[in-house]
Amino acid sequence: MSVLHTCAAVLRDPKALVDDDARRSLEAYGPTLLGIIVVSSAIFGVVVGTYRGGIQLAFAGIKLPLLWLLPIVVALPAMRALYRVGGIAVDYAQVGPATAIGVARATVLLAVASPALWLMYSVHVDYHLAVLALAGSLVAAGLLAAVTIASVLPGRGTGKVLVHASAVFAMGVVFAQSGWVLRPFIARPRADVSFMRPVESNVFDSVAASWRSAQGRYTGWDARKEGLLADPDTAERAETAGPQ
Amino acid sequence: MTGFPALWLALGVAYGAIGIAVALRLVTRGASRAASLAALGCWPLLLPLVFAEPAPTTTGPLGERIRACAEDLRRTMADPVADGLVVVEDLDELVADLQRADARLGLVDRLLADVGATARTSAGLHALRAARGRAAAEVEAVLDGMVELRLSIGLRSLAGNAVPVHERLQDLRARLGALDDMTDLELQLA
Amino acid sequence: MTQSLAPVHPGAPSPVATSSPPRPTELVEVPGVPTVLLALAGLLAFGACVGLGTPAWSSFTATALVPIAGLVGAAVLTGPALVAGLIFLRPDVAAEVPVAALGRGIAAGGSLAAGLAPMALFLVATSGLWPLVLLAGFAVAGIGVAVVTVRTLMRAAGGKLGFVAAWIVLAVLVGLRIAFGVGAMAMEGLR
Repeated sequence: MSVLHTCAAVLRDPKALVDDDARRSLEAYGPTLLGIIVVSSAIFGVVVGTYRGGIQLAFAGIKLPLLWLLPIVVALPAMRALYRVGGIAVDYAQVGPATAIGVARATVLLAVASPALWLMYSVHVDYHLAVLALAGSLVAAGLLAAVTIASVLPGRGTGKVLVHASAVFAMGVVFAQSGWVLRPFIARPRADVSFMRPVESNVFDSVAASWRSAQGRYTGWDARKEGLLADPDTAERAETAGPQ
Repeated sequence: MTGFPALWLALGVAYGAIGIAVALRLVTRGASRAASLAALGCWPLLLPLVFAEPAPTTTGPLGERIRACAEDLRRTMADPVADGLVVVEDLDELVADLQRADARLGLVDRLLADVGATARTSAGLHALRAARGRAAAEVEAVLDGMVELRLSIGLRSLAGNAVPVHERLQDLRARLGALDDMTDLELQLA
Repeated sequence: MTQSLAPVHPGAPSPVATSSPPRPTELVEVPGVPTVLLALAGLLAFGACVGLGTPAWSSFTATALVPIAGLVGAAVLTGPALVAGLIFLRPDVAAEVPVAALGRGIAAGGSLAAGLAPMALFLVATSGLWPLVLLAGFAVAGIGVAVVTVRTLMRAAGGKLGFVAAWIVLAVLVGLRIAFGVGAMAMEGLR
């Protein structure tokens, strides 16, 4: 099946890509789906990079595919375990293609919609509005991916919805934190451009701080350097030398 | 790169090394070049291909029926009513066994067609024909067992009773395994 | 596999086709030692991944042991009550059934914890969320153990299992007590 036909199947009838023999569909469509994800999200990334221009075009073009691939790589075992314990008869080889199909569908639609985002960025909208537009697009695409994954895998009924929701939530958490770690996607017009910011705080603290600011409570936010990969020279450290 | 360069590097190298190992393993298993290349960067997704048993390259006379039976049973097990039948691997193993047995039947059929044309009265030929008939019947009995299992799952949905799917699939596998033992015995006696 | 096989010849009836309908209590297989060991390894792996995020080595060990101590501790301490209670209240249920149900529950919890381990490693590597990840992972694995144990018991034993609900409450409380005890040791290591 050509790339074009795979794209068409991803958009029209994702279930058609899931063969009864999961390993066969993984081998047949897995690489093509990964290629579609990388190319589509790179296109979207380059469009996002146009807000700042210059080297940010390349940075965002590299980081957007990583943003979509990291959750597949990291959350796949957790999703599979949740499905198994939840009583949905799927094996590891089935969850992988289903996840790749869902993400490919989301990224293809993002790439298709990217001219609209470019149009918006080309008129130099406010930085916060640009960030909101990006976040909104990613959340919408993420939800579409989640629905597609649930529709491709077996298991219906009230109890199963909970299992699908938990598995997709696990992937969503990794997706959100990946977005935080890989930022900035949109650099401020006059700020220095860097590939990644230091590892600090987490996406949930950031959202909470933004929420407080949106409500007019500007309490300030000290993004502390935390995590195993944080810079040891600046991170707050316990007196005893630890695993960090 | 920000943060803790040594740790970033170590994690990156470890991830890349596993990716290379998986890609090489896929190459040796005859997977497509695209799958091997994709495994370099996204090996957790393609890991099941490393552990997948290579499918027989030839099929035998019962190939179509095996495929249909497996597909039907998979569909039944995936039905929402068949709640909790988490035995996908068991079924995969049984189907792989059936395909191997079917491939052997195919080989015997080809042998019989080739040799039978020139040596119609050979005692060995008769023995092979008889063994082939028994083996085919046994594979068909296992396929019938799969159909019975589907019916049991249907009954379970009515009676609310549990079906030991795992145990039954294991029984069917054991039956196929016994076929191998019997063939060995016949070879020793011949 | 202890069941004898049918004769292997074409005319022999299929064992599946002729076997009598299974009795509910025969349907549960006690998980083998490798399965249980794998489950324990999964719990330990999850704990170790979270432990890497703690800021001090002194709290690493205690953090790594929280999931395994909490879940296995609760199963060991309250499992006999489940077995004895079911034997006493349900004479029709084989003694192996609660043991197998609990074993399957632990196996499910272990596989959940193993599945969550890469995610936990990612989160502790990129954030300071290790306490939250530990709590969430422990809760998910605990829910997995409870769900699979109860589901297996319901399938194998059927009927009303009010006693099992009471046992679940006891097991949850015991598990939490042990986990908080070990967790307190982890926090002590940070001081």
